[in-house]
Formats: sequence, C-alpha cells, structure tokens
Amino acid sequence: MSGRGWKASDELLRLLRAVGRASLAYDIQDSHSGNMAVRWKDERGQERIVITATGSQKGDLEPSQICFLSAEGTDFGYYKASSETDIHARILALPGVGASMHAHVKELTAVTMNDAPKPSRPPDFAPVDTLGYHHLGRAVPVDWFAVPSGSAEMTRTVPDRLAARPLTVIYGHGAVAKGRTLQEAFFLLCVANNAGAVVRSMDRLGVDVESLREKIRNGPAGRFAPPPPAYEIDGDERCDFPEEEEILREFLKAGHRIFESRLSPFHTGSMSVRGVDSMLYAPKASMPADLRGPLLKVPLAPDAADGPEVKVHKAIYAASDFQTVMHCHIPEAEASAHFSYPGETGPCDRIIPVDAEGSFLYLAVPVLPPDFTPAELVGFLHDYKMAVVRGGGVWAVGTQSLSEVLHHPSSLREICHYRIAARERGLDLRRMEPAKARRW
Amino acid sequence: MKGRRVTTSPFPISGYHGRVLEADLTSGAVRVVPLDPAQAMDYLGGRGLATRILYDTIDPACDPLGPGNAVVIAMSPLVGSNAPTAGRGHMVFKSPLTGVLGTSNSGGHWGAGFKATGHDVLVVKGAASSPVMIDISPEKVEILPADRYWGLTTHETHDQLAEDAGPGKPARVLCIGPAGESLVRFAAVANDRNRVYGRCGPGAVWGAKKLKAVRVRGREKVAPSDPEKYKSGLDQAVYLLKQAPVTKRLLRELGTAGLVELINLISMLPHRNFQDCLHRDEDVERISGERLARAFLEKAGSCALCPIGCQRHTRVAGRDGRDERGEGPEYETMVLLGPVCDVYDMEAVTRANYRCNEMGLDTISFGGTLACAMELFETGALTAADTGGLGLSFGNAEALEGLVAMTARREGFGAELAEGSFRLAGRFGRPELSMTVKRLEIPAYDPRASLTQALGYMTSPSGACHLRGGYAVSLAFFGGAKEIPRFSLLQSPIAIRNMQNAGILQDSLGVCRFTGYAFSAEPWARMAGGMTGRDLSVARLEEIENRVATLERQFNVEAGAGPADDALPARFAEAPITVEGKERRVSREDQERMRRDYYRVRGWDADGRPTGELLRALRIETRRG
Amino acid sequence: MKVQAKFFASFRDLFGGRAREIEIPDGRNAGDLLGLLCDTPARRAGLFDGNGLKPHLIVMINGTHINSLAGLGTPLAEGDVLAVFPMLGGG
Repeated sequence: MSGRGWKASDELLRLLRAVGRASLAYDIQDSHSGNMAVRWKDERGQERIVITATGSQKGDLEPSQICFLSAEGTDFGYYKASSETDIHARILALPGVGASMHAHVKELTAVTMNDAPKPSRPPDFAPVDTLGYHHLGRAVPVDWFAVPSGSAEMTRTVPDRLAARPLTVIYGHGAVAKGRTLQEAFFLLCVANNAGAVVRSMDRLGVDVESLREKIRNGPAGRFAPPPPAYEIDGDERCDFPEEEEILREFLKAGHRIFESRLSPFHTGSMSVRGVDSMLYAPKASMPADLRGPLLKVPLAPDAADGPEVKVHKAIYAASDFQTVMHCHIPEAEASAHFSYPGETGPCDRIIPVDAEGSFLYLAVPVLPPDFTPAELVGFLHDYKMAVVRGGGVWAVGTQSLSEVLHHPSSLREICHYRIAARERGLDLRRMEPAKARRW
Repeated sequence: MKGRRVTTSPFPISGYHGRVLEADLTSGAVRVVPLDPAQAMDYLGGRGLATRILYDTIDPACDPLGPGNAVVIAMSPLVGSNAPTAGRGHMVFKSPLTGVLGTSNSGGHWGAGFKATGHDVLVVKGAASSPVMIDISPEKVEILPADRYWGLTTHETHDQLAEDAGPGKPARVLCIGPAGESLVRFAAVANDRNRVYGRCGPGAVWGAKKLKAVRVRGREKVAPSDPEKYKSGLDQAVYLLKQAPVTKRLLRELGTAGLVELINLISMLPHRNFQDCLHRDEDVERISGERLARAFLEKAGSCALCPIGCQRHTRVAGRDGRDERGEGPEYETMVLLGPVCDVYDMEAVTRANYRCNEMGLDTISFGGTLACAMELFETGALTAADTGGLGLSFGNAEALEGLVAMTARREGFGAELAEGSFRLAGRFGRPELSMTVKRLEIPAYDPRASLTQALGYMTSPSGACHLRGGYAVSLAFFGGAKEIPRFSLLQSPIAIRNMQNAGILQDSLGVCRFTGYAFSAEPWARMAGGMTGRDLSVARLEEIENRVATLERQFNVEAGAGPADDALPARFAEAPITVEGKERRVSREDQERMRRDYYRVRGWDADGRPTGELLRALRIETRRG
Repeated sequence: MKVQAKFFASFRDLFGGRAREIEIPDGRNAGDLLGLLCDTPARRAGLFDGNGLKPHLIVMINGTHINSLAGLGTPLAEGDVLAVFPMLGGG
C-alpha cells in the first residue's frame, strides 16, 4: 500500500460498489471485466481521478481495489489500476465529463460482430429502438483493434470517438461510455446493451432489421413514439413523499424488480401511483438497490411544462379509475411488436401468448403504432391491462398497487421469450396460437 | 338441452328475460312490467339494476317498516348461465336498522331458481294484512296465504314449502324466520336453509309486509348471443380459479374461519366490543379454522355453479349431548359471537350460529349488539334488573344460544337486543359504546389496523360492511400482487373506491366475491359481453360501477344521510391499538382528510352529495330534476 | 438464541405440529431458520422455490410480513416468533 494514501471515501466506495454490482446483475460484465473511472474531489478539495483496479471483481469491490491518479503520480495501491487507465484519463479530460465506464455489453457486442477479414472497419451500429436511437444517436461507431485492450491505438481512438458522442463500441470487446456522472455512463451502457438485445431478438424472430433501419433513416419521426426524456443527472436522492413510508417501499421494490428482471434498462421507464389530485411519480423506474432515482409528487392537472412521458401518465388517469401506471422498455417486446407473420404484410397488431400461463392471463396483448393517441391507449389498457407501443415501450395499469401493475410487463417478457424461442426453432406461431385469439 | 325450452324472448338483449315481476301485497295484484333495455345496459343487473328500480319505486325518506317500503331482488344476465358462481341474487330495500339503503347479497340456489321462472327482477310492494307467500313458476304467479308457515324457523319453512311443492323440478325457497316476523331490525332472509341475505335487516322488511316466503320453480334458460366470446371469458375464469391457491384449495380446506389466526397475527382481530385486539394464542387456537376443520367439519359445500366450495357443513355436540348438524361458523360469525364477546368457545359459537340461521338473524349485527350489551353491563349502564336477571358479562358463552331465540322472538331483554346496538346503547345512555357506522355493526376487522378498511366502513353505502364498503384486508394481506399499504392516507381513497367498484360489479353480475382472488373484471367483461352481445368492455363496466355507486349515494342523501354519517365511532379515533409496535388510531383529522378525498374521487361535493354535473355525465335521472 | 416457529393450515401437517421452539446461533436470519426447519425434501418443496420462497406463502416475524422487512434476510433476535401461512381468503 502506498503511503500517499487518500482512501476512497465511504460515499465513493458505495457508488462504485453499487454500479459494479448493478452491472453484474444486468449481465454486462463477466466476473472480473470492465472498469469504471470518475473525477472525484478528495477531502482537501483536490480533484482526483479514481479508477477501479484491473481484474477486480466489480460485483464485490474492496477499498484496496480503488486506485487514484493525480498530478504527482498514480497510486496504484496493492492492485494495478486498469490497463485502460490512460484511455479513461483522456476521456475524463474531455469537457463536461465526470465519469467513464467500460463494460462487456454482450448483446450489443454480439450484433456488431461480422465475418469480414480483419483488419477492416466494421459498419456503424444503427439502433432500431427508441432508447438507443434517442440516447446513443442514429449511428454508433464500431472500431476494430489489433490489440483490443489497453493498446496505444485504443488510447488514441476511443477518446476521440467519445469527444463527439456518448458511447462507442470496441469490436468484440463491449463498449465505452462517458457521462457527467458514473450513473449516466452506466445508463448509456445499459441502453446500448438493450439496443443490441432488441436487434438480436428481431434476428431470432426473422424481422428484417435492415429494411427497418432503412425506414428509420428515411423518416425516424414515424417510427418512434415521442422521445424518452433526456437523462437528468440531478435529484436522484430526491423524495417528495417520505411520510408515505409504505408507498415508498413499494416504489423501491418495483424499481429493483424492473431493473433486475431486465424489464427496462437502468434509469429508464417510469411508474406512478395516483392520489386524489397528485401522483407519486418515479421518472427513472428501473432502479437497482442503492442506485435510486427521484421520487416525485406531481400535480395531476395537466401542465404546459409536462414532457411526453408524464403526459401519458396524466392522460391515463384522467380517463380511467386506474391507480397505478408503469412504462417499461422490454427488448423482447419491442422486437415482437415488429414481427410479421410469414405471408402477411405489415407488423402484427397483437402479441398472442403461446405459453400456458400467458395465454390464460392475457388472451392477447395489443400492439399500438408509434403515433398512438392517449385515448386509444387508455381504451386498450381498460380491456387488456397492458399494451405495447411499437417504437415506444410497454404501458401497463393497475387498479390498486405497483406490485399489481408490475406483474404485467413481467409476464409479457416471458410471453415474448416463448414466442421468440418458438420462431427461432422454426415452429409455426400461427399454429400454436389459439385461433380465436385473433378476434380477442 | 334435451327437452328444455330455450327462451326466445322478444327482449332485445340476450341474458335477460326482459320481465320485472311486481307484486303488490296491499292489493294482492301481480303484474309483469317490461324491463327497459336502456336501463338494463346502464345498470346491468343484480345490485345495480335492483337499486335503480328501488329508487324509482319508493321514496327514500319512507318508513322502512311501512307499506311504502319495497323489496327489490334482481338477477344479472349471467345468472342462469354456466358462469362460475353466477347464481347469486341481490336484494335492496330501505333498511330498518340503518335508515339508509339496505343492500344485501346471497349465494345458494334461489337466484338461479328465480331466473329460471322467466323473470329478471322481483319487486314486492305494499303490505299484506295476514301472512302470505309468493309462488312463482313460468306458468303462473300466485300470492298465497302463509298462516300455517308463520312462526316456523327458516329450516322448517324451507323444508315444508319444498315438500308441499310436490314432485318435479325442485322448488327453491327464500324465506324469513321468527326474527323477521317479530321485526328484529337485523333479521335476515334465507335460502337453501343456511344461505342468507344477512345485513341491514331485510327480514324485518319482509316481516312488516307479512311476507313469509317466495317459492320458485322453472326451467327457463338463457343463451349467449356471442358464444365464442362468452366461452373465451369462461375458459379464462375457470382456469384462473383452478390456478389461484385461495380459490383452488384453501377456502375449501379451511373455510373463511381460516382467517382467524392470520387476522390475529396482524393485530386486526377485535376483542371485547373493539376495546383492543389482544388475545392469548391458546384462546385464538380454540376458535381457529384449523380446529374447525379438524374437529367439527363434516364436509365442504358449494353454492350454485361454484368450484370454490367454502361452505362448512359441521357437526357439534348439542347442550343435551346429542349431535347437531348445521352450517358454519364463517369467519365473521366466529369472531363477532366469539372474541368480540370475549368468548373462545367454538361449540357455543357454532350452536349460536345454528340458532341464528334457524331464526333468521344476521350474526354480525347480533354479535355486535350483544358485545355492546356486555360492555354496557360491565360499565353498570345496564343491570341485571334490565336483563331479567341475566348476568351479561363478557365471556358469557352459556348465554349465547338462549339469547338468539330471545332476540328473535323479542322475549324479555331480547326485545332490547332486537333493536341493534345503536338504539340499545342510546337507550341506556352510552351511545358511544355502539360500534357501528350508519347504525350497522362493524364486521370482524378492526379499522385501526388498516386505514383503507377504516375508510371502507366509513363510506360503504349500507354502513359498516366489508362487502359493500370494500374488503381492504384482502388487498393488504392476501391479494398477492394486489397488496396495498395499510396506512397510506394518499392511496386509501382510490384504493377503496376501486375495491368498492369491483364489489359493485360482482354484485351486479350475481357472482361471488371470492372470484376476486383469482381474477378481476376482464373475464367478466367477455362473459357479460358475449352473453348480451352488447359492448360491455371493462371501460363500460367501470362506468356502470361509478353510476351505481353514485345512485346509491343519491338514495342515501335523499334518505337524510350526510358527512356526519360517514364516520367511525369515537373509540377508533381516541383509543389506540398496537400494530407492529406502533400505536394506531384513526384520528378525526385523518377521517376528515380521507372522507374529503374520497368525495372528490367520487365526484361528489364537499357534503358528499353527487353534483348535478356528475349525475348528467353518468346519465342518472333523479327526483331533484 | 431461542426463537419460535409457528405453522398454520396445511403447514401443520407438513411440519408435524403447531409450533416449534428452536435454538439457533446468534446472527441468523429468517432464511436460515426456514432452511433449518426444512430438513426433508418435502418440507423444502413446501416452502422454497429454488432459493426463494414459493409464491402464495405468507411468512411473518412478530406479526409483520417479511416482505415489509428485509425478506429472507431479516435478522432474528431472541424470542422472535416466525409464522408460516398459506395465502388465505375470506370475508
């Protein structure tokens, strides 16, 4: 151990541990992969660069595995700082950047691989889902490196890529993201992995991804619902209703479940519980343990300043007796909403469960076009409790509780899983679906 | 259907016969009035339709025991089909106990039997001068003298009338016992011997009309207009009833009394007229559903078309040593006749339950009234001189059985008990000892242990009733996915409104509350939509629920009820109980806030009156024009 | 430390009685206790689904649902009463 020693403060250690654990839970690291770097002020107010030790287990970081860089030299501690230290240092030198993170975003990595002889530059990745498109941009660069880990070539290229965009892909080795905070970098990596998962599910379903990309290039407006809210870095600890202890607990429980069960990437989606003239609102519904998002109390009356997300919650409440609303971005559901049956033109207008439990709980789950109106959505929610918006996530409602509404997206993920698997195995979905489900 | 005639009724909507049978006991006239199809679609059936017809038939300010009151019993378009549990009827009237809307529901086989006579609704108006019964079949409807049945118990009346009907399709009998005849304010109406329309005193209204029984027999059927849609809902409902552990198995194994231990553990099991929720574990064990199942249960039983089977057919040693057979007790009965009276003697409770069924008494109001008398006695407000020498201390299990008969026949001190706890406590100068809302005795869940339940009791249209007021307990503890916070001021008003509305839908479809443990409105929407061939989407059903709730309120407003009637007894605001280590009460401020918020959620004004705007939006015609 | 486990409804048959007093080392939690009690495959199958509790099961510690505490990780203290119910319904 070096005597220069500024130790990670409790707060910093908690943050790195929480993001580390969450990245493992979201399955975007292997046990020892990836690394995180943040700018952090020490107790003397001196700015440090803090980076996780190479080969440390991100799910169980120890204080000694946190390394510090400073003008006087790097305190590598007992462990060696990540081999990507220089890359992180250069990213953190970019204006406005407070954190960077590298993760093995497997789903995205998988769909950006190709079999062209190397060296060659692989094509950019074009997201086809609303989160990926709006948060990562319409094209994410993919770079092939002869030595894809800590090489000089990478140290040059990756920070350059990130100067102009939030995230870049390293061919065969995951992605690197920058953020104003570590949470933001992690958010981007989760969104990126999700974008990969959507494409991969589409591949398995036989959806023509290239033609969809073509359509998005030609007219993105008609392909996506109103964009998701921009990522906010402030106010994650804010809670407007500490006195409602039980509801608070329900929000946190549901938030954990959304994240851990991959019902929506980190800090995406939204959920609310309605009161008489206000609603309790979580604008970042997907919340792993120790990485909360804001919990707000918002008037139910429409407000000119309302974003599209809040507007839908309010519109549902205004036209129904429902008490809870949840919005999630389930990759399997997004892909399923683009599925066309062989021999039929246009994407399906409902997702019909082929598994036993799904088919009794939900005879069919309706799919709405991206330009749905709130009135249409409310109508479907009344009859089906849940609806998928193509290019806009899954909306669900409950009459009593968050735990009740959570069940819907959770079941839908399973329903889509079985449909995708059946299609992948070459089975005929039409023959597996109850015929009458087409009329429900 | 072999040899059976499927109704080809001219009524334009399948599921209904389109016939309202109206009997005027004053004149002895019987007529069939056509059902208004628009009204059928606006109020559906059961509770909704019955309430509409009652509102149109009587003045809500009438004397509940006078000839101006009416009894309306309505079936739904699903009654008579094979939809699970869809054999329930709903009865409404102005309550002689509460002075507001009386509204009560029962299983059994009478509902389906009545529908099979080719009618949807029975309206009984006026009053006879001597005992009568109504005999209904598709061929004819008669008002017959019933002097020879007057004085008989519900069981005797049922058995005699069924036997007198002669061979053929079995007759179903709905009747009152001695309690109804002697106008006990919480007298019940029974069918299948032990299935009762219990709450709010319908038996007394029958008694005042000198109506002893209604016997039905018929073979009229209903058939769905869109069989495939109907069947898709039916398949889903049947599957889910077999999936959910509560409806699949637990209610059959333990009955509702299976709740005793659990409700005790969550500090919600009332004790000694709701003075506290403290019990010794070994005492609770003695009145538990586990013990009932082990020591007394002979078999489980079911109502019409029910796969759940919660009925307890039991056997207990009588006081003369010979075994007696009967039904029950249910959870509510076990607790109201048990710990609320500080009694933990299952044999005594079971025998008293048998007697209540025979006499035709609501066990909840009887237990609540008796507990009130016991507290009056212990505080000295009531003495042995008043009780005819009877020592009415808490825990007097011996007295239970005898007091049932005394109350039912208004003998001795029984005449005081027959008035219900509100009038009893008032008469002996301690009105605060009546544990009632709108004069109706509180069921077996302490409202201090759940704000949502508290608000349900406060705002139930019929007074403190867990079935009309909303059964928050199920949400908080047994609903699985539907669990809601127990102590949330914010969530309670909408949660309880939605629970009450779910109940309105079930009551208006003639189906059992317990289906709610397996599924909510969607399968019903498909079954009702498939049956009627009309748009009965969940959104439409939601509108019907709100319409019915507001009409019920309108009835009560016209009957003279106001915000002061939507309140808990002072005990619950002042004396705390301990729940999970915290002292809990329902303070007057919390009651005020929840009541205000609830009115707003319902669209009523600050005094709880439906606004003209709401009445127009819901298309509710009222007298106030 | 000494804690008590109480069983209701069908769990009485499964665990052969209404209640058991059991001595466990300090620092153990609800999951540890349930694990100890499930000493046969049938008992384990009655309560657990993998490492989690089966759905439709109510486990309370001193009258509070463990979902409102720290779930199976809820620490136990001397004299605690743990109760196991099936989900019940009634009214």
